[in-house]
Amino acid sequence: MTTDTKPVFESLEGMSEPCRLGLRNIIMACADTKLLLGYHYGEWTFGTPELEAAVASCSLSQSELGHVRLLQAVLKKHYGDDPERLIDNRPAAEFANVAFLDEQIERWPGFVAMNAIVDLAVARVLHAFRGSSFKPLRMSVEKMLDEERYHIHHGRGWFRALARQGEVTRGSLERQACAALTSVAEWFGPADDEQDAALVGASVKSMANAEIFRALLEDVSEMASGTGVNVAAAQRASLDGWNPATRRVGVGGPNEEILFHLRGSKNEVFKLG
Amino acid sequence: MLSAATLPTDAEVWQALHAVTDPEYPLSIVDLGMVYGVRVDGTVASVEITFTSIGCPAIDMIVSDIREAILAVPGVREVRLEIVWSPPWTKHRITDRGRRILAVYGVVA
Repeated sequence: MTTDTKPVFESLEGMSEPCRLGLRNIIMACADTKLLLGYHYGEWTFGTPELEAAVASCSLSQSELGHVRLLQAVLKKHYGDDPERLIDNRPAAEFANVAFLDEQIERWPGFVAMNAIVDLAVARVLHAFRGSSFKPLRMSVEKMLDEERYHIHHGRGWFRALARQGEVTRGSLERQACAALTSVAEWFGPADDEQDAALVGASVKSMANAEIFRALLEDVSEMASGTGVNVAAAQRASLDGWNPATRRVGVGGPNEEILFHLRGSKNEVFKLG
Repeated sequence: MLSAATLPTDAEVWQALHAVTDPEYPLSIVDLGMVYGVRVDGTVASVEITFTSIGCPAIDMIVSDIREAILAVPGVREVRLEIVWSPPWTKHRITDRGRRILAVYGVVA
């Protein structure tokens, strides 16, 4: 007979300090990345090459923004973070999104790289929270993953379709995919991150970020196999001075135009209350 | 003061929830399988509910409709509503009655 000694955290009580910090940082990183994914998907609703992709893009945006609402509610309840402040009153340099999303996604291959790689990276992190000892997240992660399945199918389908559309398009997709992977690698951070180790040690997360990134690389390599897109050129830059709160080596964040739209600044006059 | 005979019951609250619909479907939230639990304790009705998608733009509207419907049940003074995501909603939660209604609209669930 075996005894399950895995801890269960209904709240942050009983968690070590690195674990608490690490949990806040990874939830914030997922929420911020999803916020930017939601924005870019929304922007592309009117720019896709096919009508079906426009409908999909709108739906992807809706579900990402729903996930943001859910993750920010966890941050609010357990860390006291005000969701309104997180979007409306936070300097760009405090955002913890994958840097690939900092600027406008100008071309369709960029959209596809975002969908097929960046979105998948966040889904992979959420997957590591299945069976988490932190119950408030565990209770919502299955539903998010359920919805993420469609994101993955869409990204993968377009990645392989685009790769077949000639050398120029394939080259563009390859550059965007490599840029996305490089950016995601920075977001995951160094293999020896103390906070990440604390999360895995407390069974809050089932896999370390380095393992998740390796699994992601396998997913992407498999997706790219036989397409002529070479993702091996993605760089892993030095992570000296990496900041676990922003998940970057240097200073960054979404550009002002994106923040302007995210905050609904133009619509301020219509806000109720 | 309400006597035991006039206190609201779980069945009355379920009945009231049959009148609340998801604006995207011609079905009640009960037939959609979105209501995970109802408990009435005195004059307080507690409901556990989920949604078909996390990003559902009608969440606030549906929550408001639920409150309104339950508060219309004689004797209910307070509604405690908890939104839950586990187990995740799937189409398998739609009731047989719900499937028959959807079939009339040409939707196979």
